[in-house]
Amino acid sequence: MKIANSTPLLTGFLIAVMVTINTSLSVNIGESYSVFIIHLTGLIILLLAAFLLKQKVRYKNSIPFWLYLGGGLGIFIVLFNNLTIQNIGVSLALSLGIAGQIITSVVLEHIGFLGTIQKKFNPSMLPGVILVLAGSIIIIV
Amino acid sequence: MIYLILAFFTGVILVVQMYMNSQLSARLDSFNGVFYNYFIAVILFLLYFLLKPDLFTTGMARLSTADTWMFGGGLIGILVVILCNFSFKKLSATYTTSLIILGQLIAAILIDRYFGIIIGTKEITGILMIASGIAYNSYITSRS
Repeated sequence: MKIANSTPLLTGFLIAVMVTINTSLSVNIGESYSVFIIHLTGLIILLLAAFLLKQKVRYKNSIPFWLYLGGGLGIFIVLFNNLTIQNIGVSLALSLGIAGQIITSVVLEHIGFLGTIQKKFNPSMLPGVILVLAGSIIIIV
Repeated sequence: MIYLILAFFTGVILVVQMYMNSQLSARLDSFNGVFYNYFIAVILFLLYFLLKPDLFTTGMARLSTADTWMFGGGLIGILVVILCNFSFKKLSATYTTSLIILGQLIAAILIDRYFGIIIGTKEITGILMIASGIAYNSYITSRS
């Protein structure tokens, strides 16, 4: 067992801690302003890292402009996380969020979203998908 | 109930964003993929604050009421991106995603306990069903 093998587990812990910390900030300084501060600190750290590691900010005209705008969705992800955690707790917010991710990735993979390679839905995954959906419905209803 | 649906919907947006981001990273590089994520969010907020300057000033005024550790989320976010990149490069995608999910759920339950949030039997059943569905799919994927 190599230490590297436990990296994803540690990453999962960090995600749960992060969303909790962000929610505390949101409760203290306000919903929208906290999301701004969270992205601003991230940006500052990234720019410092870029400077140290000699990475360059690049822009290519050949890439469709809207592909650059994923960060706009990031705002809503952090905002919604903060809002839901305050009201339903971290476990429910994260488990339902994970269920949403699983279902969405199955669908987007099947249709080959954004020109990615289509991966037809493997019917042997159906029991797993049904469990995830049923689990979510039980929590929500 | 609205918050429960919103939590599910957040997962939907997250995947759409990951698709956009991976496209951008593939055509630039992984640093720029992450950079535009944060950069665009900050720019959009600055534009929003131009329209609603009082939101900015009240936020600024309340900054000092927050403890220092509350500002750690941005740093952890960057760390998470780095660790994810590392894991997906070194370990299988199935293993990585299932362990990230497992880590989140364990830590989340511990955090809720710490804050005294009690989760009902119905909710625990739902969480276990979601977790076993993911475990099952990971098993299927790793075999094929």
